[in-house]
Amino acid sequence: MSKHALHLEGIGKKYRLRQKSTSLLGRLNPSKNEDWFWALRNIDLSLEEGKVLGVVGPNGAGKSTLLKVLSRITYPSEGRFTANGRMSSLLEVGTGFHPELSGYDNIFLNGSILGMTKTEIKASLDEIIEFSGVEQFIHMPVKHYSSGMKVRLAFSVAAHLTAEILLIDEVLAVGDASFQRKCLERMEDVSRHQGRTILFVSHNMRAVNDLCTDAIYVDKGSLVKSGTPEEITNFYNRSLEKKSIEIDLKDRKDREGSGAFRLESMRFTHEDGSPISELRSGQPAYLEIEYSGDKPPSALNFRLSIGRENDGFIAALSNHLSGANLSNLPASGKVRCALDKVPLMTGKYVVNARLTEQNIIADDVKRALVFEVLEGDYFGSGDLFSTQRTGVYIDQSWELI
Amino acid sequence: MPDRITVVDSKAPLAKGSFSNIRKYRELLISLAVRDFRVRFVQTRLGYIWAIVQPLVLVFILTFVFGKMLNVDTGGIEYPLFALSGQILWSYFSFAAVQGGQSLVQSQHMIRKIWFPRVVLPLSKSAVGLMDLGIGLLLLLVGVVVMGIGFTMNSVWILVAILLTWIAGTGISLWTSALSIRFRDVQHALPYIVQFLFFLTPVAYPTGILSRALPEGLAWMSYLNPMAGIIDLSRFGLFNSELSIEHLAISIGVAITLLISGWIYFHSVERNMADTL
Repeated sequence: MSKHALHLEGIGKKYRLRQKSTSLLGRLNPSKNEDWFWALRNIDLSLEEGKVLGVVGPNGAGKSTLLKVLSRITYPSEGRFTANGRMSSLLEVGTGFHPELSGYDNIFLNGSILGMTKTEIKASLDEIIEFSGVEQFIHMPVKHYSSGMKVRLAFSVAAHLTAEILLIDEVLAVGDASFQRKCLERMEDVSRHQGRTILFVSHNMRAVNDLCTDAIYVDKGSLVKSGTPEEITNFYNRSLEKKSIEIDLKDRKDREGSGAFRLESMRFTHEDGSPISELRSGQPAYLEIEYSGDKPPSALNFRLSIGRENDGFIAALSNHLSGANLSNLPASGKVRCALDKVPLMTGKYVVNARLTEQNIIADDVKRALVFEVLEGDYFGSGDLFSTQRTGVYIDQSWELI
Repeated sequence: MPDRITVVDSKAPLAKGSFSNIRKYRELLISLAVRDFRVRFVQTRLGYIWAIVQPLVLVFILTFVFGKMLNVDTGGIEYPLFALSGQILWSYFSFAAVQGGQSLVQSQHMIRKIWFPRVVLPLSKSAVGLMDLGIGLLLLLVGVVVMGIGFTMNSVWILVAILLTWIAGTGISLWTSALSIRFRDVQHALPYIVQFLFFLTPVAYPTGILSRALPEGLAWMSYLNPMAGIIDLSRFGLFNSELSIEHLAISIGVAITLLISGWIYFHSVERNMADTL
């Protein structure tokens, strides 16, 4: 039996909802009842050595609190845990980077903040510099780096951590796509070949599926379900779906933005405005969007990202993108986007919707719409190509030259 | 690897293993100190020369004001040397107290994102100050030789005085850094208090002036300021000036009490620092 790298018994963390006032006036008349909020409660968990555990759950579920407790940034209010091996946490890359120091000096500084010894840093120094891809600028102060370069350097240091247990919080959500991939590969490498134990908090279901050996679903501070990454990511998607189906768009609370304008509803309709029950590739369709606000907007932009179920971006719809300014819009109303031929291949799609006014985000709702596209003959050629893949059809013509 | 087991228990007593943690994190302490030292003179023309210029200019001003204008009696010691001997200890003390006191709030970003023994932050400030102290000490020794005072066995007391300065400065910084997490007021008050304390400390004038200004029988009170006794000790070491053992004992007692109580208070609030900041 392999031994446990991490063992949690009844871990809980409570926070005071209303911070006790630290000003003198506030202290003179203290509120009688203090409200406590359990960000985490009764978490029991064992993680064997060499396992990679994905922690998923909705925003505010307690994932980050769990990570903070395990990385000892904050102390648990109840319960105990044991970690068998050196532990490092990555809640952020580049902690402690100093802009005036060179990249080279920052490697040592950041490394020692992350708990590496000087000898260890020296041993992997060349690798770190090479991995970062900023060799040329390594003796330049970091303040002259682009933000991308900074992130790459910071991640390189993190990727060479020597700890046996790594606690990682969505740090992969930074950097450009190719560097992200490199980091994911490096992480896979680390866990598979060096027998390290990783706890990985993420919203990226593909990463969880790709990287993790186990997964747990956390909600409202409790461990709701544990299982294989596939089970858990499906569970996660279903719970999100349930949320977006059961709750009308206008009642959704998990939105961001200034709130000056809100998305009220979204649906596909026929030209006459009646709802489409079955959306098929190649057919005409209208995406109808209802919005509301207090005063007539100026430069309102609807930005819709259409993507695959788990993640991944496929196509964008935006009135500004298409050149439509939609001037003289009323404070509240309906607009629609006409698609002559639905270009999506068979499958299930999600729409993340964002409303901006003069480039300021007014409303932002993830999974504002989930829809399915059924088989259809986009080109009218009778050939339906591969039917079970999500993607888009591109208008094309072929000729002999 | 049984040597690397971490156990975190909500019911564990406070401050367990804080000393061994600091040993493990001494490299971080050094890295932070080196960072602060290097960053300080970035983009200056004079660079590290500033570290020498600063104490010299200060001594020059003290010499002009107290030596020439007020004509303070130093008991026959060249005034610049007299001032320097107090100044280097005082500078170290105020640096450790003020910089160390602000260290946690200043690095709150780090505290929220990663674990390390928090005490490393104020301690690293005490370490940065040592570099200035070293430069000052060198200037002082050069002065002693140039003035033909020479060294005796007593000169070793200057090292003891430095150690005591570290104790006093670090003790205050532990208290103030931990307190300023809850009460940022401390951050605003501290530089002023240290500045006021300068005038009540025999840096620019000999200790007798201060004692004589106080009512009969209350002279000992000025030694509740630990730096008073400590600077007396360093001057006793270098110039064989007058030294009252009783008064020195009061200063040492205060310094050590500050360090121990500061250490205990710091560790009693350490667990919740990330939540309170």
